[in-house]
Amino acid sequence: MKYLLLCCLLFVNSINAQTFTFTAIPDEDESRLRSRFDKVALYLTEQLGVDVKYVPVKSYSAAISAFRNNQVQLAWFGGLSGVKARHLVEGSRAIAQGYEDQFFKSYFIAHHSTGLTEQAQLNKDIAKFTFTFGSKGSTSGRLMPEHFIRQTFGKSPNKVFKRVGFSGDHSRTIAQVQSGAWQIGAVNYKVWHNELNAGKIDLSKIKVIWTTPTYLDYQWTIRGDVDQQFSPDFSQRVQKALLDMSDPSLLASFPRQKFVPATNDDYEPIKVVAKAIKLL
Amino acid sequence: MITVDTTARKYRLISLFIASLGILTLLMADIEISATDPMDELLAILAGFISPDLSQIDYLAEALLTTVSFAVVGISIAATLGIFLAPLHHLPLVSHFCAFIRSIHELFWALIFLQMFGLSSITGVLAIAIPYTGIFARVYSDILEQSPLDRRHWINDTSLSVWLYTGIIPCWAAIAQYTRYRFECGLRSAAILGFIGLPTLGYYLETAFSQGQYNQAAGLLLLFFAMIATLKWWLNIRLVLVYLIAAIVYLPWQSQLEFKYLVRFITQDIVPQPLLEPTLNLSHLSQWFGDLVSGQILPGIGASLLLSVSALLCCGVIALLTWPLASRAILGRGYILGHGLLIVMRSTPEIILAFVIMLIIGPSMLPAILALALHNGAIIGYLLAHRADRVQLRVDRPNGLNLWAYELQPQIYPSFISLIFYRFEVILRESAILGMLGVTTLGFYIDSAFEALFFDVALILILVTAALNMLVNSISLRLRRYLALDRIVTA
Repeated sequence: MKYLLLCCLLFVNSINAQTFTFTAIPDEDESRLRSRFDKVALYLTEQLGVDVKYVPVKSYSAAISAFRNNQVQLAWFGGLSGVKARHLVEGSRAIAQGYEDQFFKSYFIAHHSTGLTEQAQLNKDIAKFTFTFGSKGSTSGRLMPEHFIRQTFGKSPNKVFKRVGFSGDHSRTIAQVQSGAWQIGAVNYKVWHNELNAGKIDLSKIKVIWTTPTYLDYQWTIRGDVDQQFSPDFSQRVQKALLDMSDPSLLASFPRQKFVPATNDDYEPIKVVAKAIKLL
Repeated sequence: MITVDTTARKYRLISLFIASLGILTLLMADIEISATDPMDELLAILAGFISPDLSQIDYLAEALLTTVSFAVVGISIAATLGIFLAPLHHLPLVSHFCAFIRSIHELFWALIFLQMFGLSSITGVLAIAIPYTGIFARVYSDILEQSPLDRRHWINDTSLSVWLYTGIIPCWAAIAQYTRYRFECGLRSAAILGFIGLPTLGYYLETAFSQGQYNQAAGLLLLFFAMIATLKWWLNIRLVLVYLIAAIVYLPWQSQLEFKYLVRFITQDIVPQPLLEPTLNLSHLSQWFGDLVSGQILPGIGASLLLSVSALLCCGVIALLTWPLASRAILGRGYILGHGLLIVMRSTPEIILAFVIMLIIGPSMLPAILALALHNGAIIGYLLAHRADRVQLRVDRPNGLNLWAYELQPQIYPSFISLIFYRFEVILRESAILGMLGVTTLGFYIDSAFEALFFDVALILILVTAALNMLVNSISLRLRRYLALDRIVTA
């Protein structure tokens, strides 16, 4: 029985060796993630001529681990998770980012009971309230908001606010600020607009009080060893396939208008911020 | 004045002790209630339960089968190993080893194996099998100790048949019943493993909840409740082997992870980073470790203990209030309703309970305390109701309130105390998981470390958690001995 199992294992491993796999951090609308990304996998299969499979993950760290352990060779990362992944995997490269990711931003949102109004500069009014980030590993829900808070107040968020939490993800940040459980939250601006369009946000209860300066966010990162593993120009072909993606129903999964080229150096500022906050 | 050292006096003392400690910690804990505005969200949750919907979930059958398969394989391995470890459990080495492996929550085991085997069935099965082996070994040994036959008799003669016929067979009914109960827990564990990405029911439950898709969340929860409620009809002990083979065949066993990554995890990732520097810098190392102790370990231990002890008191109160609702002896047929209530309370993952409570009373330690108390209180309530219904009642017994207050409650009180002690271990272990909600228990820091991929920090924190659990375990063991509660099997 043991040997049989072992044989199966070896056999399965060998047929999987030529499957190109990718993942995407769970950040936007998570529902039906698999069926939506299976379509992207189909598109890449057609473009690249190899079998492409999508592997669903539940957290930012799981996406990074899968990439690091070569369980996936390509990943749609956030700014911070991408920097981390490339830090851990030598030779890996950012090859494309969303058009919108060149000037990404976060919103600080507040429950109406705080009486806060939109402010041009982050100011001390927000300091006495409770505050929630999104996921601990998120760029737009954690890293950049924390960076701007530290920049403004000169101390860490849990010394600025009455209480600090991590809701887990952007949708939950919105739901929990809207229900008043948390008074202020930091959220990915794209998710905010998605939910606003979906009618999930009641503007009489919750509103945007501050918009962060723009920064770079999501990007496609590929492992450096794919060229040896698949074909000599494989990473270039992947990059081309991503940049050529024009079908709105595929782009809606991300959701981005289109993809544009990106390099590792573009993300240097994110890396500096991550190091300063000791997340790298 | 003469004090008589009666059994009742001991129970009074210990109850007073738990109650005052609980009240003290509740006073010290952060239990602020903030005014919130939760009606819309709560109505949305309610609407979800009125029209549950499973049609929008891809791969539902796969999730269901994976959940059951993880539980079947994991529990089978754990029960088998447990039964072989049980006769050795009196050896300090074995009992400490078992205490150690069960003191680490299955989610943390899974997070560790995730780094070694990736998102594979091996990760899911081991994450269940390892902690449950520790649990089975201990409880089976408790059961075997109460075997009517002399224990030394089968320890000295180590032949298999002596062990089988004098040890296992006489206790078979108790062992089978306990294993069945643990299978339910295993199903719950398997479902929860989905929260970190394994393809079980929890995967979709977590997604639906975090996205506010409450009809789907409700559908999944109801499905899960139904699975637990019908367990006694579909989990036939004679079919276990069939289920086991089916589960092994069903689960995909391939791991795409190469061996070198496993080696890297063990030889580099989990080694404290200052030790990996080319030249060993002791001051750097001690500063690294000092920061960890003062910044995470000590505050984490404090919060974990505060949370667990307060939750223990609330859990005891809930158990005492709820068990009569599920007792056939007290309520007659009405017990079905109470039984259903307890299934819902104990099968809803604590994280979800805490999430809903937090919407209502705002963020603090209180949602976590209440979630732990409701969940574990319901489990104790269920076990107590079971026990109460097995009490032999006299023909001239009282009815209703009198039966409850003067007959059954006193008779099952020793079981209650015994269960409370055992549950404290469980609550402490689970308090770590609620750290994922932002209560700064040890689990909060462990979760942060895994999220930042600082595996060296994560491992140290996990070991601290395990040490704390083992310490609490040995204290509770001593208290149980003092109360002579070790004669009562904890189930």
